[in-house]
Amino acid sequence: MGRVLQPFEYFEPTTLDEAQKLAAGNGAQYIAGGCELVLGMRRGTARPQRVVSLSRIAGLDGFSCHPKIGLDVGAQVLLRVLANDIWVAKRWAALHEAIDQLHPPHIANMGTLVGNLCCATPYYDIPTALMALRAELTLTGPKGERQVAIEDFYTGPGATAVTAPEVVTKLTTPPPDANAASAFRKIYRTRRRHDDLHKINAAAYVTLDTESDVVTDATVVIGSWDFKPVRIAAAESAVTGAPATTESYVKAASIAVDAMEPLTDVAWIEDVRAQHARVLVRDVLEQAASRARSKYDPAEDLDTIEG
Amino acid sequence: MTKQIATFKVNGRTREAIVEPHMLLVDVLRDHLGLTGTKRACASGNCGACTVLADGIPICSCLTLAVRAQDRELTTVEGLVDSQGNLHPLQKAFITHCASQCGYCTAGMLMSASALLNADPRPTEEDVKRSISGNLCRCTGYVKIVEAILDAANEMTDAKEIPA
Repeated sequence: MGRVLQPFEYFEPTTLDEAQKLAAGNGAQYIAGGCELVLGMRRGTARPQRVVSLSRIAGLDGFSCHPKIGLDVGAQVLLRVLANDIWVAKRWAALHEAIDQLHPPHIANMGTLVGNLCCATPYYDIPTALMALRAELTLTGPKGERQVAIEDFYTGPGATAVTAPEVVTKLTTPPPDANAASAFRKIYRTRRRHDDLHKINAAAYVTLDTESDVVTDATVVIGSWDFKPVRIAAAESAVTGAPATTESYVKAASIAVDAMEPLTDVAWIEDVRAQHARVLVRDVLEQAASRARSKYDPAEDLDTIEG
Repeated sequence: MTKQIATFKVNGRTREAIVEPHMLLVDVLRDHLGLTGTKRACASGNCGACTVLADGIPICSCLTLAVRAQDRELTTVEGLVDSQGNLHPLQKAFITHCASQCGYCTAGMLMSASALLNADPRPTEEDVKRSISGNLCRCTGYVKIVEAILDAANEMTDAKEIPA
């Protein structure tokens, strides 16, 4: 790892237009929280000629969260702002759990939510949680704004739908249904060899018909096995309309595992991955459904959930 | 923007240094401002040895560009001592509990712990473990460190309380 960063030009524009003009050339990068970019520059994986800071642009620091209106997060909003918000913890529980388990905790004090999504690292947790919550990103370019669903945001390994000099100005999610809740879990192990499976994560969003106790709507997402988190449509349709019982979740989990394509040709890694995914999908569905059913407050016992 | 004179607010004082955009905050603190208490270890945000407080919040100075830290109130481990040069209760507790061995992680541990105690004067053991979960210690182990922080918390709250 290089000890010193390569020199670059640094700009702190105050308007979005100015930022986009500065970032129009080749080798330009936006910086918001900077955790990922500075780390990449240290490792030599990012070599920007020009770094354009978003920190002085007005209007990107908006944050609002209300269970009836939805979640609206500007590009400058730090992860700690979301981690400390009670409505995120209560009604966007999957997102809260993903942020709460970030390591090291300093990252939440430095990094932004939008920046975490834009770096397109395949094994990050927050994209998985937000995909379960059906988030949408607003991209602002010279020709105006456009909305991109988070499922269409990742276009390839390390690549996003952002075409320079566009800026992701905000992230929005719709308000959760009254009888809906979400959950996020991950299994994380230290990587001992380069081909070790070191992480797998899953998130679910479940809406219940509370009278008949039937699942009416579900999103199941598994992350860390493809270049982006993947919604498992087969598992979603299997659990939708089924009674909200453990058997339904176990069935949906095995359908989800069958839908996952192998990542390596090493049999034991695929075996471990399948076992982990099976447990995670079952657990997140069960947890989301129990929260939806009981109006359970996940903020109360978050510290007991294993990371 | 190339070389520029940057103004930093460190430990209550205003300091100036000539910096370039690619310089990291940890290097400017250590090499330009002479505050070598802050350590540089993994330099990738994993170990927490470079922790400093920016506006009272712990951040990794190894992942912060120095030019971006100019408008923030920085506190390094040198800023824990009071104006008479007395050690902070946390530092005293670290000494009495032998909570540092090689000492490389200690500055980061102290900064994370002081951020915790500023926010929560009566932390539980779980709170303490959680607050230093971003700081790695490779020699002492964490038991003495956790005990030292709890002890310092007790001492600080006892000192504040008015005897009946």
